[in-house]
Amino acid sequence: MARALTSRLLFGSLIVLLYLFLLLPVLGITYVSFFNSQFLSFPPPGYTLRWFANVFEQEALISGFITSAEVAVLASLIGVVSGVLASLALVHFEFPGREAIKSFLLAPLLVPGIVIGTALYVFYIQIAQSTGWNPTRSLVGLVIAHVMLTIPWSVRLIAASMGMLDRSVEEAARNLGAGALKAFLLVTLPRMRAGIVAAALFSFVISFENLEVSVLLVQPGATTLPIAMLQYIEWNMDPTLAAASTVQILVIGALLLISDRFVKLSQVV
Amino acid sequence: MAELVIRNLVKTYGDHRVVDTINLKAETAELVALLGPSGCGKTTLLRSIAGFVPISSGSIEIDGRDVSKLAPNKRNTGMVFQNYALFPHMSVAENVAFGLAMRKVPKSEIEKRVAHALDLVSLTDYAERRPRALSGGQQQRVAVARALVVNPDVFLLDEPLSNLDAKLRMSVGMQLRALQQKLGLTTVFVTHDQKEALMMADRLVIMRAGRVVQEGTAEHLYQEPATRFVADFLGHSNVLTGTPVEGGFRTDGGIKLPSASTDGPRVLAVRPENLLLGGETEGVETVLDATVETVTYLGSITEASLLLPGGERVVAHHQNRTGRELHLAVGDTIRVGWRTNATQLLIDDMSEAA
Repeated sequence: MARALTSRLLFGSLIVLLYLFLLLPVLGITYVSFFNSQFLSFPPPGYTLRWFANVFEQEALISGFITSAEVAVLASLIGVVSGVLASLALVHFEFPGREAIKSFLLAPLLVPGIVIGTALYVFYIQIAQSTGWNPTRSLVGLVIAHVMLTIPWSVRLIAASMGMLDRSVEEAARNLGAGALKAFLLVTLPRMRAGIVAAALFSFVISFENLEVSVLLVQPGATTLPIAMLQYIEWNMDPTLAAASTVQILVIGALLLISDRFVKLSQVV
Repeated sequence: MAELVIRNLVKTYGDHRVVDTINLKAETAELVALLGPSGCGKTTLLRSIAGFVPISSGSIEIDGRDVSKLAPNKRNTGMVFQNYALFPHMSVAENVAFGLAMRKVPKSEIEKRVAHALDLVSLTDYAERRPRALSGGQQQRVAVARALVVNPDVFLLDEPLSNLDAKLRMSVGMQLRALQQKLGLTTVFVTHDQKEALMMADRLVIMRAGRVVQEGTAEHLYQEPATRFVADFLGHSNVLTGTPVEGGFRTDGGIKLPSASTDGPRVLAVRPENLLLGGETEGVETVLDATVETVTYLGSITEASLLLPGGERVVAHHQNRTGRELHLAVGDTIRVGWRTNATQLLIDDMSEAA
């Protein structure tokens, strides 16, 4: 009995420690955002909400947030649709080069972001020189870069969820008179919902917080939030960014809770 | 309802002939069971009728129309899958309505026909449930209702009983058979379980390695198996190997049997219930003294494994009846015999295959 109790206590404290380890940075950032001091110091001289007000006065941060959100939505959308189509081909069909294509689609995960960013930058300049159209002058260049990040995640998550689906269910739909497209839309796609939602969430977060791929591809006045933050701390040491992060954590947390209403996240990840 | 005719159907994967020149006919309202061990091609054959397996050559005709090039959704077959393959995101009623919606049946008629189909399988009270909330037997009935509501020309069953409890299997099988007869459904039924096939089918088709070994009624196949494989697959048979000799056949253990011509490798086959024991052997053609090796009392029968003088082993079934119980002990010597007309000299298709 005593031994069982001890081991349960040990196990319990291990779990608590793990959660602390994961949550401590988040809690720390939130704590710091209330410090009433121009420079980070500990213990804080007092507490204030003014840094939160300051976040909304920083136009660079606000427009960065909007740009990041736009790019993340577009990149996730394109990534998820491509992910669904690619997974369909990879899971359902045998064709020569299938493994090669699979590895190719996952490859961007293996290349350091800064390398992708640099390579794309050089590539975009060449496009601009030969066609006169510069992809970095609009969000297009950034969206294309982020799609390279969202496709591998989407393919991974959607193909995995699709691989677990029983194909005979789709066959049953065909048997009952549904054409290939109808069977897919009415029977297979709804059953892929969990994988698709997971892919969309991951893609959005990956794109939203990306810094190293984007850093060379943005233009002045249209930066993403992480870059705007980077620029801000070059000149300021106040807790504004901690406040911005706290807001960001709240927004993403709210998004997760909302999507949990539609698809149980515990089934997804 | 319609008749199904399959002519010279071949399906190859690479060099391997999974289905090898099959000819098969299912008359209107007939239930044909495809029976064979796993890998014999029975499921591939069924799936090629449904249109999920493109065939290499041959033809499949339903009601005189060649469907072998048609997409699965154009064939009007109704299939019950082994795992039922219900749509998990739809209610029972929506599952059943799916095929009708695909056929653009008006809404009011869909409701009527779904209600009727659910009534047919006694699931009216479960219409709004999700498949996950049903038991295995209920799920199977949803699958049956879903396949039947569209009035398919051919009803296809892929091991529909294999996922049910042994207890349930018998009664569900009987219900399915009653439904099939009531609606006059032309049906092809795939199973590896001979009991299911014997219980349900008008006609059995025994398959092996992509070919039909023998077909006929259950009685015909049991009593007159064409080969050693059939005798062994359908029920149990004592098989004694041997060689043809002048005027008959001689087993490796030295038992002689008068018989007609024996071309090719043959074996002697005797069903366990045709082995007569003790006093029953009075006046039969072959009588031997055997040693009892094991005795298993199974209620209505007693099963005894016997060692023949020539070193061969056979299994005998004794029908127990009040007043004529068999008293056997391991080590006893007992007379065992059989009538020549209860034995068969069968083509030995088991040794050549290796």
